[in-house]
Amino acid sequence: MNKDMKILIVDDFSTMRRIIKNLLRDLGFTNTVEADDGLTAVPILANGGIDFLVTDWNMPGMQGIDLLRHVRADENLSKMPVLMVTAEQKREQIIEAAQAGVNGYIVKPFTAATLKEKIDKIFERIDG
Amino acid sequence: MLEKSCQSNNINLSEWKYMSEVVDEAFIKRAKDLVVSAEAGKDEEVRAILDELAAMKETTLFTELGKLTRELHETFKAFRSDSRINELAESDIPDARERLHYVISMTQQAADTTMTQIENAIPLCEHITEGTEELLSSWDRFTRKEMQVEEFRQLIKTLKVFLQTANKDSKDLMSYLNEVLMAQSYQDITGQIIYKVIQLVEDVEGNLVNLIKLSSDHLGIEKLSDPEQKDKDKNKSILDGPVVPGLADKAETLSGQDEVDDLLSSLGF
Repeated sequence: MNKDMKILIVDDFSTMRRIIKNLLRDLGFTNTVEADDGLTAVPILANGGIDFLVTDWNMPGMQGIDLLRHVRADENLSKMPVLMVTAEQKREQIIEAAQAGVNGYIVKPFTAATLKEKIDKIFERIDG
Repeated sequence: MLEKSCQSNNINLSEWKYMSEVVDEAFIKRAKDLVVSAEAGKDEEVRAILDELAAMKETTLFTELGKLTRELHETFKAFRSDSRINELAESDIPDARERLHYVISMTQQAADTTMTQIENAIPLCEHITEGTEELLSSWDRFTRKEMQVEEFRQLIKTLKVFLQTANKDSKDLMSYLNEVLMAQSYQDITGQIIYKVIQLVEDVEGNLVNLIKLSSDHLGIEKLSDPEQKDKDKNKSILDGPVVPGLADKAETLSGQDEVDDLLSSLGF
Protein backbone atom coordinates (compact mmCIF):
# COMPACT_ATOMS: atom_id res chain seq x y z
CA MET A 1 0.00 0.00 0.00
CA ASN A 2 1.39 3.36 -1.08
CA LYS A 3 1.24 5.82 1.81
CA ASP A 4 1.62 8.76 -0.59
CA MET A 5 -1.56 7.93 -2.49
CA LYS A 6 -3.99 10.81 -2.90
CA ILE A 7 -7.26 10.29 -1.01
CA LEU A 8 -10.49 12.21 -1.64
CA ILE A 9 -12.75 12.52 1.44
CA VAL A 10 -16.40 13.36 0.64
CA ASP A 11 -18.83 14.25 3.47
CA ASP A 12 -21.27 17.14 3.94
CA PHE A 13 -20.33 17.51 7.63
CA SER A 14 -16.95 19.23 7.98
CA THR A 15 -16.48 17.67 11.44
CA MET A 16 -16.55 14.21 9.91
CA ARG A 17 -14.16 15.22 7.09
CA ARG A 18 -11.67 16.51 9.67
CA ILE A 19 -12.01 13.35 11.77
CA ILE A 20 -11.36 11.09 8.77
CA LYS A 21 -8.50 13.32 7.59
CA ASN A 22 -6.84 13.19 11.02
CA LEU A 23 -7.33 9.44 11.34
CA LEU A 24 -5.82 8.92 7.89
CA ARG A 25 -2.85 11.11 8.85
CA ASP A 26 -2.42 9.01 11.96
CA LEU A 27 -2.29 5.93 9.71
CA GLY A 28 0.41 7.59 7.61
CA PHE A 29 -1.73 8.96 4.77
CA THR A 30 -1.06 12.68 4.54
CA ASN A 31 -2.05 13.35 0.93
CA THR A 32 -5.79 14.11 1.26
CA VAL A 33 -8.31 16.40 -0.43
CA GLU A 34 -11.90 17.12 0.63
CA ALA A 35 -15.30 17.69 -1.02
CA ASP A 36 -18.64 18.40 0.66
CA ASP A 37 -20.87 16.35 -1.63
CA GLY A 38 -20.94 14.28 -4.83
CA LEU A 39 -21.34 17.30 -7.11
CA THR A 40 -18.14 18.95 -5.85
CA ALA A 41 -16.33 15.60 -5.82
CA VAL A 42 -16.98 14.85 -9.53
CA PRO A 43 -14.78 17.67 -10.97
CA ILE A 44 -11.98 16.83 -8.48
CA LEU A 45 -12.10 13.19 -9.64
CA ALA A 46 -12.21 14.31 -13.28
CA ASN A 47 -8.99 16.32 -12.82
CA GLY A 48 -7.26 13.02 -12.09
CA GLY A 49 -4.64 12.01 -9.57
CA ILE A 50 -7.05 10.61 -6.95
CA ASP A 51 -6.12 7.07 -5.89
CA PHE A 52 -8.71 6.30 -3.24
CA LEU A 53 -12.22 7.64 -2.52
CA VAL A 54 -13.77 7.76 0.97
CA THR A 55 -17.40 8.93 0.81
CA ASP A 56 -20.51 9.45 2.94
CA TRP A 57 -23.88 8.33 1.53
CA ASN A 58 -26.52 10.86 2.63
CA MET A 59 -25.48 14.24 1.23
CA PRO A 60 -27.34 17.11 -0.44
CA GLY A 61 -26.79 17.60 -4.16
CA MET A 62 -25.33 14.28 -5.25
CA GLN A 63 -25.46 11.35 -2.86
CA GLY A 64 -22.59 8.96 -2.18
CA ILE A 65 -24.26 6.00 -3.92
CA ASP A 66 -24.62 8.08 -7.11
CA LEU A 67 -21.01 9.21 -6.82
CA LEU A 68 -19.99 5.53 -6.55
CA ARG A 69 -22.02 4.68 -9.68
CA HIS A 70 -20.48 7.67 -11.47
CA VAL A 71 -16.97 6.38 -10.62
CA ARG A 72 -17.76 2.83 -11.75
CA ALA A 73 -19.27 4.11 -15.03
CA ASP A 74 -16.26 6.28 -15.94
CA GLU A 75 -13.53 4.21 -17.65
CA ASN A 76 -10.77 6.45 -16.22
CA LEU A 77 -12.04 6.01 -12.66
CA SER A 78 -13.77 2.61 -12.69
CA LYS A 79 -10.92 0.75 -10.97
CA MET A 80 -10.64 3.24 -8.10
CA PRO A 81 -11.19 1.71 -4.63
CA VAL A 82 -14.16 3.29 -2.86
CA LEU A 83 -14.82 3.12 0.89
CA MET A 84 -18.24 4.20 2.13
CA VAL A 85 -18.47 5.71 5.63
CA THR A 86 -22.12 6.32 6.49
CA ALA A 87 -24.84 6.25 9.14
CA GLU A 88 -27.10 4.28 6.78
CA GLN A 89 -27.33 0.70 7.98
CA LYS A 90 -30.39 -0.82 6.40
CA ARG A 91 -29.84 -4.23 4.91
CA GLU A 92 -31.15 -3.21 1.48
CA GLN A 93 -28.87 -0.16 1.38
CA ILE A 94 -25.76 -2.19 2.13
CA ILE A 95 -26.76 -4.65 -0.59
CA GLU A 96 -27.34 -1.71 -2.95
CA ALA A 97 -23.85 -0.35 -2.22
CA ALA A 98 -22.33 -3.80 -2.71
CA GLN A 99 -24.08 -4.17 -6.06
CA ALA A 100 -22.89 -0.71 -7.12
CA GLY A 101 -19.33 -1.92 -6.53
CA VAL A 102 -18.25 -0.50 -3.18
CA ASN A 103 -14.95 -1.87 -1.80
CA GLY A 104 -15.65 -1.32 1.90
CA TYR A 105 -18.53 -0.16 4.10
CA ILE A 106 -18.16 1.46 7.54
CA VAL A 107 -21.13 2.52 9.66
CA LYS A 108 -20.98 5.63 11.82
CA PRO A 109 -20.05 6.05 14.58
CA PHE A 110 -16.87 4.07 13.93
CA THR A 111 -13.48 3.65 15.58
CA ALA A 112 -9.97 4.39 14.34
CA ALA A 113 -9.30 0.63 14.43
CA THR A 114 -12.26 -0.08 12.11
CA LEU A 115 -11.03 2.48 9.58
CA LYS A 116 -7.54 0.96 9.59
CA GLU A 117 -8.88 -2.58 9.29
CA LYS A 118 -11.12 -1.75 6.30
CA ILE A 119 -8.41 0.20 4.47
CA ASP A 120 -5.89 -2.62 5.04
CA LYS A 121 -8.43 -5.16 3.75
CA ILE A 122 -9.22 -3.13 0.61
CA PHE A 123 -5.56 -2.76 -0.35
CA GLU A 124 -4.70 -6.35 0.56
CA ARG A 125 -7.18 -7.47 -2.06
CA ILE A 126 -6.00 -4.97 -4.64
CA ASP A 127 -2.27 -5.59 -4.07
CA GLY A 128 -2.66 -9.33 -3.57
CA MET B 1 -60.50 14.60 -1.13
CA LEU B 2 -60.00 17.49 1.22
CA GLU B 3 -59.73 19.94 -1.68
CA LYS B 4 -62.79 18.46 -3.29
CA SER B 5 -64.90 18.83 -0.18
CA CYS B 6 -63.82 22.47 0.17
CA GLN B 7 -64.85 23.13 -3.42
CA SER B 8 -68.26 21.56 -2.94
CA ASN B 9 -68.64 23.65 0.19
CA ASN B 10 -67.99 26.74 -1.87
CA ILE B 11 -70.76 25.75 -4.27
CA ASN B 12 -73.09 25.37 -1.30
CA LEU B 13 -72.16 28.83 -0.12
CA SER B 14 -73.07 30.41 -3.46
CA GLU B 15 -76.27 28.35 -3.58
CA TRP B 16 -77.29 29.86 -0.29
CA LYS B 17 -76.65 33.36 -1.52
CA TYR B 18 -78.85 32.64 -4.54
CA MET B 19 -81.55 31.15 -2.35
CA SER B 20 -81.58 34.04 0.06
CA GLU B 21 -81.85 36.49 -2.86
CA VAL B 22 -84.94 34.65 -4.12
CA VAL B 23 -86.35 34.68 -0.63
CA ASP B 24 -85.61 38.36 -0.36
CA GLU B 25 -87.59 39.13 -3.56
CA ALA B 26 -90.58 37.21 -2.25
CA PHE B 27 -90.08 38.90 1.09
CA ILE B 28 -90.04 42.39 -0.45
CA LYS B 29 -93.17 41.58 -2.48
CA ARG B 30 -95.06 40.47 0.66
CA ALA B 31 -93.75 43.50 2.56
CA LYS B 32 -95.20 45.78 -0.11
CA ASP B 33 -98.52 43.87 0.20
CA LEU B 34 -98.30 44.52 3.93
CA VAL B 35 -98.02 48.30 3.37
CA VAL B 36 -100.97 48.21 0.95
CA SER B 37 -103.11 46.17 3.36
CA ALA B 38 -102.18 48.39 6.31
CA GLU B 39 -103.08 51.54 4.37
CA ALA B 40 -106.37 49.93 3.41
CA GLY B 41 -106.95 49.13 7.07
CA LYS B 42 -107.31 45.36 6.48
CA ASP B 43 -106.26 44.15 9.95
CA GLU B 44 -106.83 40.44 9.26
CA GLU B 45 -104.65 40.54 6.17
CA VAL B 46 -101.92 42.57 7.95
CA ARG B 47 -101.72 39.94 10.72
CA ALA B 48 -101.59 37.09 8.21
CA ILE B 49 -98.84 38.74 6.15
CA LEU B 50 -96.79 39.53 9.29
CA ASP B 51 -96.93 35.84 10.37
CA GLU B 52 -95.95 34.78 6.85
CA LEU B 53 -92.99 37.15 6.77
CA ALA B 54 -91.71 35.95 10.17
CA ALA B 55 -91.98 32.31 9.03
CA MET B 56 -90.04 33.09 5.82
CA LYS B 57 -87.15 34.57 7.77
CA GLU B 58 -87.05 31.69 10.25
CA THR B 59 -87.00 29.05 7.51
CA THR B 60 -84.04 30.74 5.77
CA LEU B 61 -82.14 31.02 9.04
CA PHE B 62 -82.68 27.37 9.98
CA THR B 63 -81.79 26.15 6.48
CA GLU B 64 -78.56 28.12 6.53
CA LEU B 65 -77.67 27.03 10.04
CA GLY B 66 -78.32 23.40 9.16
CA LYS B 67 -76.18 23.57 6.06
CA LEU B 68 -73.38 25.31 7.89
CA THR B 69 -73.36 22.66 10.60
CA ARG B 70 -73.39 19.84 8.08
CA GLU B 71 -70.59 21.44 6.08
CA LEU B 72 -68.44 21.90 9.16
CA HIS B 73 -69.02 18.31 10.16
CA GLU B 74 -68.14 17.03 6.67
CA THR B 75 -65.00 19.12 6.42
CA PHE B 76 -63.64 18.00 9.76
CA LYS B 77 -64.48 14.41 8.93
CA ALA B 78 -62.56 14.75 5.66
CA PHE B 79 -59.71 16.47 7.46
CA ARG B 80 -59.47 13.73 10.07
CA SER B 81 -59.42 10.89 7.59
CA ASP B 82 -57.24 12.67 5.06
CA SER B 83 -54.53 14.59 6.83
CA ARG B 84 -51.32 13.41 8.43
CA ILE B 85 -52.40 14.91 11.76
CA ASN B 86 -53.19 11.51 13.29
CA GLU B 87 -49.94 10.02 12.10
CA LEU B 88 -48.05 13.05 13.38
CA ALA B 89 -49.65 12.93 16.79
CA GLU B 90 -49.51 9.16 17.22
CA SER B 91 -46.09 8.27 15.89
CA ASP B 92 -44.03 11.11 14.46
CA ILE B 93 -44.03 13.42 17.47
CA PRO B 94 -43.11 10.61 19.92
CA ASP B 95 -40.43 9.56 17.39
CA ALA B 96 -39.05 13.09 17.36
CA ARG B 97 -38.98 13.06 21.14
CA GLU B 98 -36.96 9.80 21.10
CA ARG B 99 -34.59 11.30 18.53
CA LEU B 100 -34.00 14.41 20.60
CA HIS B 101 -33.41 12.32 23.73
CA TYR B 102 -30.86 10.35 21.77
CA VAL B 103 -29.19 13.61 20.72
CA ILE B 104 -28.92 14.60 24.38
CA SER B 105 -27.38 11.26 25.34
CA MET B 106 -24.94 11.35 22.39
CA THR B 107 -23.78 14.90 23.15
CA GLN B 108 -23.41 14.01 26.81
CA GLN B 109 -21.40 10.92 25.96
CA ALA B 110 -19.15 12.95 23.66
CA ALA B 111 -18.61 15.63 26.32
CA ASP B 112 -17.83 12.95 28.95
CA THR B 113 -15.35 11.17 26.68
CA THR B 114 -13.65 14.45 25.76
CA MET B 115 -13.31 15.56 29.39
CA THR B 116 -12.12 12.13 30.58
CA GLN B 117 -9.40 12.04 27.93
CA ILE B 118 -8.33 15.60 28.76
CA GLU B 119 -8.17 14.67 32.45
CA ASN B 120 -5.98 11.70 31.46
CA ALA B 121 -3.75 13.93 29.35
CA ILE B 122 -3.14 16.73 31.86
CA PRO B 123 -0.97 14.70 34.35
CA LEU B 124 1.20 13.51 31.43
CA CYS B 125 1.83 17.11 30.36
CA GLU B 126 2.60 18.05 33.97
CA HIS B 127 5.00 15.12 34.21
CA ILE B 128 6.84 16.17 31.05
CA THR B 129 7.00 19.80 32.24
CA GLU B 130 8.43 18.82 35.67
CA GLY B 131 10.99 16.46 34.11
CA THR B 132 12.21 19.00 31.57
CA GLU B 133 12.49 21.73 34.24
CA GLU B 134 14.62 19.47 36.47
CA LEU B 135 16.84 18.41 33.57
CA LEU B 136 17.22 22.01 32.31
CA SER B 137 18.51 23.20 35.71
CA SER B 138 20.93 20.25 35.92
CA TRP B 139 22.05 20.95 32.36
CA ASP B 140 22.70 24.60 33.23
CA ARG B 141 24.91 23.50 36.20
CA PHE B 142 26.75 21.14 33.87
CA THR B 143 27.45 23.83 31.22
CA ARG B 144 28.66 26.18 34.00
CA LYS B 145 31.03 23.36 35.05
CA GLU B 146 29.48 23.26 38.53
CA MET B 147 28.82 19.53 38.40
CA GLN B 148 30.85 16.79 40.08
CA VAL B 149 31.54 13.50 38.25
CA GLU B 150 29.21 11.48 40.48
CA GLU B 151 26.42 14.01 40.03
CA PHE B 152 26.95 13.87 36.25
CA ARG B 153 26.61 10.06 36.29
CA GLN B 154 23.35 10.53 38.17
CA LEU B 155 22.18 13.07 35.55
CA ILE B 156 22.80 10.56 32.75
CA LYS B 157 20.66 7.98 34.56
CA THR B 158 17.89 10.55 35.22
CA LEU B 159 18.01 11.63 31.58
CA LYS B 160 17.57 8.07 30.33
CA VAL B 161 14.61 7.42 32.63
CA PHE B 162 13.05 10.73 31.59
CA LEU B 163 13.43 10.01 27.87
CA GLN B 164 11.85 6.59 28.30
CA THR B 165 8.85 7.89 30.23
CA ALA B 166 8.47 10.96 27.98
CA ASN B 167 8.41 8.67 24.95
CA LYS B 168 5.67 6.53 26.51
CA ASP B 169 3.77 9.59 27.79
CA SER B 170 3.71 11.26 24.38
CA LYS B 171 2.39 8.05 22.79
CA ASP B 172 -0.35 7.93 25.44
CA LEU B 173 -1.06 11.61 24.84
CA MET B 174 -1.47 10.92 21.13
CA SER B 175 -3.99 8.17 21.84
CA TYR B 176 -5.97 10.43 24.23
CA LEU B 177 -6.03 13.15 21.59
CA ASN B 178 -7.29 10.64 19.02
CA GLU B 179 -10.08 9.65 21.39
CA VAL B 180 -11.02 13.33 21.72
CA LEU B 181 -11.01 13.63 17.95
CA MET B 182 -13.24 10.56 17.48
CA ALA B 183 -15.67 11.81 20.13
CA GLN B 184 -16.46 14.77 17.85
CA SER B 185 -18.20 12.45 15.39
CA TYR B 186 -21.34 13.09 17.47
CA GLN B 187 -21.72 16.36 15.54
CA ASP B 188 -22.36 14.55 12.24
CA ILE B 189 -24.74 11.96 13.75
CA THR B 190 -26.75 14.41 15.89
CA GLY B 191 -26.80 16.91 13.00
CA GLN B 192 -28.49 14.32 10.78
CA ILE B 193 -30.99 13.42 13.53
CA ILE B 194 -31.86 17.06 14.26
CA TYR B 195 -32.30 17.68 10.54
CA LYS B 196 -34.99 14.98 10.51
CA VAL B 197 -36.77 16.63 13.45
CA ILE B 198 -36.69 19.97 11.58
CA GLN B 199 -38.40 18.25 8.63
CA LEU B 200 -41.08 16.98 11.01
CA VAL B 201 -41.62 20.48 12.44
CA GLU B 202 -42.08 21.76 8.87
CA ASP B 203 -44.60 18.97 8.29
CA VAL B 204 -46.58 19.94 11.41
CA GLU B 205 -46.44 23.56 10.27
CA GLY B 206 -47.84 22.56 6.85
CA ASN B 207 -50.73 20.72 8.49
CA LEU B 208 -51.50 23.66 10.74
CA VAL B 209 -51.59 25.88 7.63
CA ASN B 210 -54.11 23.44 6.12
CA LEU B 211 -56.25 23.70 9.25
CA ILE B 212 -56.17 27.51 9.04
CA LYS B 213 -57.06 27.26 5.34
CA LEU B 214 -60.14 25.20 6.25
CA SER B 215 -61.36 27.72 8.80
CA SER B 216 -60.68 30.63 6.44
CA ASP B 217 -62.78 28.87 3.76
CA HIS B 218 -65.71 28.97 6.16
CA LEU B 219 -65.22 32.64 6.79
CA GLY B 220 -65.07 33.30 3.06
CA ILE B 221 -61.45 34.45 3.22
CA GLU B 222 -59.45 33.97 0.04
CA LYS B 223 -57.73 30.59 -0.15
CA LEU B 224 -54.06 30.32 0.71
CA SER B 225 -51.99 28.36 -1.73
CA ASP B 226 -49.24 26.06 -0.55
CA PRO B 227 -47.38 24.53 -3.49
CA GLU B 228 -44.20 24.14 -1.42
CA GLN B 229 -45.67 21.49 0.84
CA LYS B 230 -46.44 19.21 -2.09
CA ASP B 231 -42.90 19.61 -3.46
CA LYS B 232 -41.50 18.81 -0.05
CA ASP B 233 -43.51 15.60 0.19
CA LYS B 234 -42.35 14.58 -3.27
CA ASN B 235 -38.68 15.14 -2.43
CA LYS B 236 -38.90 13.33 0.87
CA SER B 237 -35.66 11.43 1.34
CA ILE B 238 -35.87 7.66 1.43
CA LEU B 239 -32.70 7.44 3.50
CA ASP B 240 -33.17 6.63 7.19
CA GLY B 241 -30.06 8.32 8.56
CA PRO B 242 -28.47 7.39 11.86
CA VAL B 243 -30.07 4.55 13.81
CA VAL B 244 -31.87 5.83 16.90
CA PRO B 245 -32.25 3.08 19.55
CA GLY B 246 -35.85 1.94 19.87
CA LEU B 247 -36.96 3.51 16.58
CA ALA B 248 -35.25 1.37 13.96
CA ASP B 249 -37.08 -1.37 12.10
CA LYS B 250 -35.23 -4.33 13.64
CA ALA B 251 -35.84 -6.70 10.74
CA GLU B 252 -34.42 -4.32 8.16
CA THR B 253 -31.73 -2.49 10.11
CA LEU B 254 -28.36 -3.94 11.05
CA SER B 255 -27.16 -3.28 14.56
CA GLY B 256 -23.58 -2.27 13.84
CA GLN B 257 -20.31 -2.78 12.00
CA ASP B 258 -20.12 -6.52 12.84
CA GLU B 259 -23.50 -7.25 11.26
CA VAL B 260 -22.60 -5.11 8.25
CA ASP B 261 -19.38 -7.10 7.87
CA ASP B 262 -21.28 -10.39 8.12
CA LEU B 263 -23.77 -9.30 5.45
CA LEU B 264 -20.98 -8.14 3.13
CA SER B 265 -19.00 -11.33 3.60
CA SER B 266 -22.13 -13.34 2.78
CA LEU B 267 -22.22 -11.32 -0.46
CA GLY B 268 -18.65 -12.35 -1.24
CA PHE B 269 -16.78 -9.37 0.21
